[in-house]
Amino acid sequence: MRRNEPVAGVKWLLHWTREFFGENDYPRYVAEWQARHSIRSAEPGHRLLTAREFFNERLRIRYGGGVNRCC
Amino acid sequence: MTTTSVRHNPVSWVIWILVAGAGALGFATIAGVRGEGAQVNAVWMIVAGLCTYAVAYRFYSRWIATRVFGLDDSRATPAEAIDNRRDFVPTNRWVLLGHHFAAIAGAGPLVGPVLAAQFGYLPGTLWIIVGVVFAGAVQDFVVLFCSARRNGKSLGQMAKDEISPFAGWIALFSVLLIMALILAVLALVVVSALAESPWGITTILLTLPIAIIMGVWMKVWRPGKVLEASIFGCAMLIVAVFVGQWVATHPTLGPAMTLQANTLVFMMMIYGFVASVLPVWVLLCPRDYLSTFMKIGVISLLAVATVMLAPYIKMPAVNAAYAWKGLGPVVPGTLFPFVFITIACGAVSGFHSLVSSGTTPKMVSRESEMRLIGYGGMLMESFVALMAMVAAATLDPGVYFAMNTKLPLDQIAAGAASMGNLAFAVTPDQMKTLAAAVGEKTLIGRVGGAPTLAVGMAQILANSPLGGGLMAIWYHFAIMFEALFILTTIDTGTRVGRFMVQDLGGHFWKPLGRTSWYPSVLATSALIVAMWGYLLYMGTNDPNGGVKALWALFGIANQMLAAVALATATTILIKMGKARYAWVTAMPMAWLVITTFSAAVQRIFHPDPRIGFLALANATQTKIASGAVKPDDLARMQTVVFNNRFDAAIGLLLVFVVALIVIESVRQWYLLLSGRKQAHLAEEPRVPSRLATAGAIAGGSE
Repeated sequence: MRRNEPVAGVKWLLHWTREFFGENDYPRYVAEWQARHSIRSAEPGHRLLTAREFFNERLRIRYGGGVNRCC
Repeated sequence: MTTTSVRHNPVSWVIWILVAGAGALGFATIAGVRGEGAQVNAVWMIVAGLCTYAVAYRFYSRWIATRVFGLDDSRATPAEAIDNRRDFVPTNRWVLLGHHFAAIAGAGPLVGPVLAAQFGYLPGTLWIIVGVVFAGAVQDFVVLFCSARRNGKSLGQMAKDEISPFAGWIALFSVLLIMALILAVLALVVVSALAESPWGITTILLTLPIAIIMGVWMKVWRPGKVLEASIFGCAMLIVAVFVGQWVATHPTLGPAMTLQANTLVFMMMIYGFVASVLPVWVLLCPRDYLSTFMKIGVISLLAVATVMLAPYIKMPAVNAAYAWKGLGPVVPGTLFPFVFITIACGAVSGFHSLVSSGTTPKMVSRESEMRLIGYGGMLMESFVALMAMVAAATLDPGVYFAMNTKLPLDQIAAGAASMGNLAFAVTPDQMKTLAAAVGEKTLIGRVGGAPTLAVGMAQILANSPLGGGLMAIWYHFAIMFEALFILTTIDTGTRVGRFMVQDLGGHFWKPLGRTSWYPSVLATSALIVAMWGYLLYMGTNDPNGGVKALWALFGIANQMLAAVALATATTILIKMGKARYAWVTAMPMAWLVITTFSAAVQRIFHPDPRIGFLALANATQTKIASGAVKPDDLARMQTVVFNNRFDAAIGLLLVFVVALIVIESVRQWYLLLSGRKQAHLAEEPRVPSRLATAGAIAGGSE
């Protein structure tokens, strides 16, 4: 048990580092999407976004308009 | 942990009493230790700050959340109610705190405290800590709350809905003006830091290809792999610092990379324009990531190094001649109101209200989380300002004034009239040794705040057990860190300014409002660059140290915007039937109105030409008329006259528009409280939260 503790700590740290950098967002989106729809029965306009499309979408939200950077 | 559990939990009470006691001891030490030979350790500044933040977050913000706002987790936030997987996305609170902090954390809190250190370390430190608790963090929290209850509406829209359409329009125009001022003053700080510094310029220029490679990495090669690209970027930045050192000492490249201030001004303008019209993934996004992670990392490193090194504060607690008589050579004017204007972002920043009513309210998943993000995020920003004050206050005062004024060293050491008769020991050898240690030709007259902060940071970092004594490397690392940060504001800020101009222009001619129509993109980008570029050029060529005038205008404008945000919030609280708690926002609003209006009136009308714009313009005009100006200086003197009249006009315009909004707000409060008008709150109807009933936490595991 004790031997596993550092491994758990590193995993926890890695998880949160990836979380902070937003790298868990796409897998989470895929999981949520799959839970809601079946990939095969995806309707037009509701298809699963690719990683690149998802990243573009995030860029649009963050920089597409409005104030996103302060002084 | 609930309020009830704390009330009955003696262990919690003991812990909080200890935290409060440590904070009180910190304040007593930094404020109370006086006398010959008495020295204060900088660690006490950190203790006072952190303990105050902890107590304020735990008690004051909780009281605001429960009593004043009545945050309700059973009510769906816009992110949950709309959840369109586009703009409205329920997001984990820690991730959102990171996003929000990245958006509010700019270079302002790094520079303001350094300039305000002139008054002594104590006034600025107290304003940073007390100001954030009662004004800055309250503003960010309350605007986030108000916006989230209105489906993420912007500040201008809320002012229009809750005060009057007229107030909303004025808010829109004043925000654009403030944006131009902010961009100009921050660009001026970079120009002052990089002028005639081949090492700094090389390092900063190298950040451009690094950012572009990161952009291609995240967008094309490995979509979304921000972590990998950021690790690569950080490693390359460190390499860039060493390449800069090599170039600076190179016989051919060194002189070629030594650029004059005016050349840098035009380079900055071209950069701002290009960054505004390029796709965001090329420059903006990677720079944003790099600078945010750098800021968090560097400030944490500085805090750890300060605690390990435990340096003593060398700046006096209060420089009386500057504080009470206004004779300071760095920031003209007395402590009141100018310390509250010079330190804007670390204590309260109106610009945060635009972020708090931007993307953040559309992503918060539960109402209670707004306390962590709004109030907590601003406390983090205040800590950055506190660390900047530590870096400035631990420098030798003589070195500080030699760097931040253009006065001869003998005048500083002798306490000449130009130094307000205060003497601070400094010798040419001392400055030469220091310049050689950091790899610069000279550090004398390196005004603007950024070089001072870099020397202060380098001294702490290099002398701590973490630093390895590499003073020059740490200095240029700090310069790169500051410039990188400010350039991020310049590129994103120019783009945001472009959106604002397009938004306004769209009301007059529809195609101008189309954000992706290229003729509009080019025209509006050129317009916003011209706006801040002119102010930057003006500041760079001001013989009286342009940063003095522009920083004051920026501080006044930024704090006035905060007053507008707090006036809107007070109106909303009164309409919510919470008039008895309206002081929470009305009190900081009143303070900001008093300080900004006093500062603006003094800067415009003060009879002393060192302080008043019009006095300096008139004195210069008289000098020209008397024929005392050499023919070579005539054009420059005429520019001084024009620039100071221009600054006075901007100051007057700001006072006028903000006075209109505040008067209109107070009129509304009177009508509402006297029952002459019925309160109509433009709040969205309550929708029950599914997340609360399911006990789910959106956006990932805890």
